[in-house]
Amino acid sequence: MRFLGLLNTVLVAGLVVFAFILYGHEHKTRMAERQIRKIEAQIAREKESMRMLRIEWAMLDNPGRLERLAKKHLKLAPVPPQDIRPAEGVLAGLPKRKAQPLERRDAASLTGLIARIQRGEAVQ
Amino acid sequence: MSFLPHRKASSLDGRMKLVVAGFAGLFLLVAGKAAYLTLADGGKGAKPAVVRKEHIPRPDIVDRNGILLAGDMPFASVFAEPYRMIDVDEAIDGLLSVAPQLDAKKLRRQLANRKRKFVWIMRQVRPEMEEKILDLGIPGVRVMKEKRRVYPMGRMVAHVVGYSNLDSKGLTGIERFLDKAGALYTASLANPDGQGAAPAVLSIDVRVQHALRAELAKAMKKFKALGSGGLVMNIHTGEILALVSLPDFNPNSRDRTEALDKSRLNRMTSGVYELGSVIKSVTFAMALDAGTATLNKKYDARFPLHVGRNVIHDFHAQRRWLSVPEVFTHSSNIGTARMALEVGLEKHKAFLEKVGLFERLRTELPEAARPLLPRHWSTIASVTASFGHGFAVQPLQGLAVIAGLINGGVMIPPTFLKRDAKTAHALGKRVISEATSRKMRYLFRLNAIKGTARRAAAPGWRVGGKTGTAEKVINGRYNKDHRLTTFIGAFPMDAPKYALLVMLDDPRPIPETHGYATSGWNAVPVAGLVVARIAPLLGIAPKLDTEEARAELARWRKLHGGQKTKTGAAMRPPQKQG
Repeated sequence: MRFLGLLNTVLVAGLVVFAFILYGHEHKTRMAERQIRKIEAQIAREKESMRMLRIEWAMLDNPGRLERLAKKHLKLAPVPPQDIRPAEGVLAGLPKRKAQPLERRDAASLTGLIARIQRGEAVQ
Repeated sequence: MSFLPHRKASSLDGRMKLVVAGFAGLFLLVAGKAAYLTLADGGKGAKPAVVRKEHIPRPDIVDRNGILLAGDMPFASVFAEPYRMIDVDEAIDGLLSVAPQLDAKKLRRQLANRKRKFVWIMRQVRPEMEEKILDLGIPGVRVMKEKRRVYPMGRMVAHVVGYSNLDSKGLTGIERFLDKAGALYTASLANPDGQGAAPAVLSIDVRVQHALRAELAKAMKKFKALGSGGLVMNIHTGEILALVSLPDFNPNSRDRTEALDKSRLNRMTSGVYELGSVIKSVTFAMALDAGTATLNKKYDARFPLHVGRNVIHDFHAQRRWLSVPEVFTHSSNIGTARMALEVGLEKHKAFLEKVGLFERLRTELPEAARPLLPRHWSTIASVTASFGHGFAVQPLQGLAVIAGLINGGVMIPPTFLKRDAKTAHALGKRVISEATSRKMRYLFRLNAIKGTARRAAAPGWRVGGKTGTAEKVINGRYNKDHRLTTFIGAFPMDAPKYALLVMLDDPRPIPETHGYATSGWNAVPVAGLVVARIAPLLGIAPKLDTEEARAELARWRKLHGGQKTKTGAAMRPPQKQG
C-alpha cells in the first residue's frame, strides 16, 4: 500500500502543479484574446477611415471640380495641337551645350572661389 | 479477507497491483498528453478559437485608371434606449459636451419618456464622433454601424455605374449587372479568405467621360437641344471609354424620381433612334465588300428615284452622276439606294444581320433596347434602310458597327469592363475584308476633309466620320422641323484607335449656323471639340504638317475663333504672368 500512497502523493502534486500552469495559460490566452479583439476593432476602424478617405479623395479628384479649380486659380489652358511636338523633335531643336565635364567646372570655380577668399576679396 | 486462505489472498494482492498499475499507466498517458498539449505547445497549427468574419461587401467600382466610381461608405448612427438610461440629465450633458449642435430641449423631451425603447440621437456620424461618444460610456446610448453606397463622381458616370438601393441591391447600370448577369464575375472578385473584394474595373476613363460630358452640356445649351448623348470607344478592344446621356441624374440622391424620369434614361443603350445617313456607311461597306461597287464607279443621281409608289429625294440634290466617294460626301440617298438595290434584297438583309443591327445588342448594362425593324423586308424597306430610315437601333449599336467597319473589318462586341486586346481578338467576328475596311477609312476621312463632316476640323487629329440627320417622329408623323442629329467618327484616321458618337436631340437652328440644324452644323463641330480635348489625353500625337491639316486648322480657327485667342493669351510664358 505504500506504493499507492506514493502514487497518490505524486498525482496530487502533479494536479496542483498542472492546475497552476493551466490557469496561467488560460489567463494569458484571455489577455491575448482581449488584445486581439482590441486590435481587430482598431483595424476595422482604420479600414473604415481608409474607406472614408478614399471616397473623399475620389470626390476631390472629380475632373469637373479640378477643371473649375484650374480655371479659377491657374493661368493655364489646354495645349493646342500646334504646340505639341514629338520628344525627338524637341531635343533636336535645342541648341547644343558646350561639352564640359561637370566635375572639372565645379572644381575650377571652387578653387577660384577659395583663391578669391584667400586674397581677401568679397564674396557676394 | 482474513477468512480467505493466505495463498489466495496473496494471489489477489498480485492481481490488484496489476489493476492499479494499469490504471496508473492510463492516467499517466492522459496526463502526458495534457502536458504535451499545454506545455509543449502541441496545438500549433490549429485554427484560432475566435474567428471574425467581415460580411462580404459590394465590390467597389473603379474606372480603367483605378479612380473610384462607387464605394461603400461606412458610417455610424447614435441612438438611445431611454428605458435603460440611469441619469438622463447626465447623459444629455455628456452628449452636448461632444456634440454641441444637438437640440438639448428636444433630446430632454424624448429621453424623459422612460417607456420609449428607441430614440435616434445622430444619424451618419464620422468615426471620430463615434469614438468620442463611445468614450463617454453613457449607459443606454449605443452606436449602430451602417453602410451606404456613395458615388464620388456624382452625375458624371451615373448612367454607366447605375445605383443600388438601401439594401445594397443593384437596381440599374453596372450595379445591377454585379448582382444579376454578372454574379459570377462579382464572385470572382471576392478574396478567397472572405475579407473584402477586389474592385470591378470598368473600361470608362473619367477624364474622357468628363470632357465628353462638358462639351455635350455646352452644346445642349448652345443649340437649345432637348437632350444629347455621346460615346467614345476603343475600336480594337470594344471598350467603352465614355458614355454620356444628358440630361442625367444624381445617383447619390435618396430620391429616385429624378433617376426614373423618362427624359433622363440612358439614351445610348435604353433608347433606339433612327441614325439616318450614318447607316449609309454600312451600305457602302456592304456594296464595296460584295464587289458590286468600286470607288471609281458612278451612280445616276440626276433624278429622284422611284421605288414602287415611293420617291427617294436627296437633301442637297446634285442632279448629276456621282462617283462612290461623292455619293458618300454629299450623303446622296439616291446613290446609296442604287448601291443597295444592286446588292439585292436578301444579301442586304443578310449583311445587316451579320453586323448585328437586327438584334438586340447586349452589354453589361441591363438597359438594352430591342431595335425597331421594318415589318416586311421589301424593296422599299431595303432602300430606306440603306440610308438609315425606317429602322432604329441603340446608338451604341450604331457605333459598334461603324467601329467594326473601320478597325480592319472585325466586329467586336462592346463592353463596359476593362478588356485586353487578346480577349477582344478572340471575341471578334470578321464582317468585311481588310481591303474594304481600308476603303471605308478613306471615305470617312474624305468626308471630314470636304464632305458633310468638314466642320469637325479638330486640327491635326485626323478625324473622319459620317453625319446623320433624322426627322423626329412627333404624334406618329415625321416632323421636318424637329431632328435628331448624329455624328459617328473615328480618329486618328490613318490608323484609327478610337471611335466616337455625338448625338443631339432636337437642336435648334441658331444665327451662327445660318438657320441650319442638320448634323454637319451641330453634332459635327461638337465632335471636333470633343476630339481636340480627348486626343491628347489618349496619347495621340497631332500631325499638322499636311495641307489638309493646315486647312483644318484654318477652319477650326474660323469656327472656334474666340476660344483660340483666349487659349493664346493663356499660353504666355510663366514669367509674364502677374
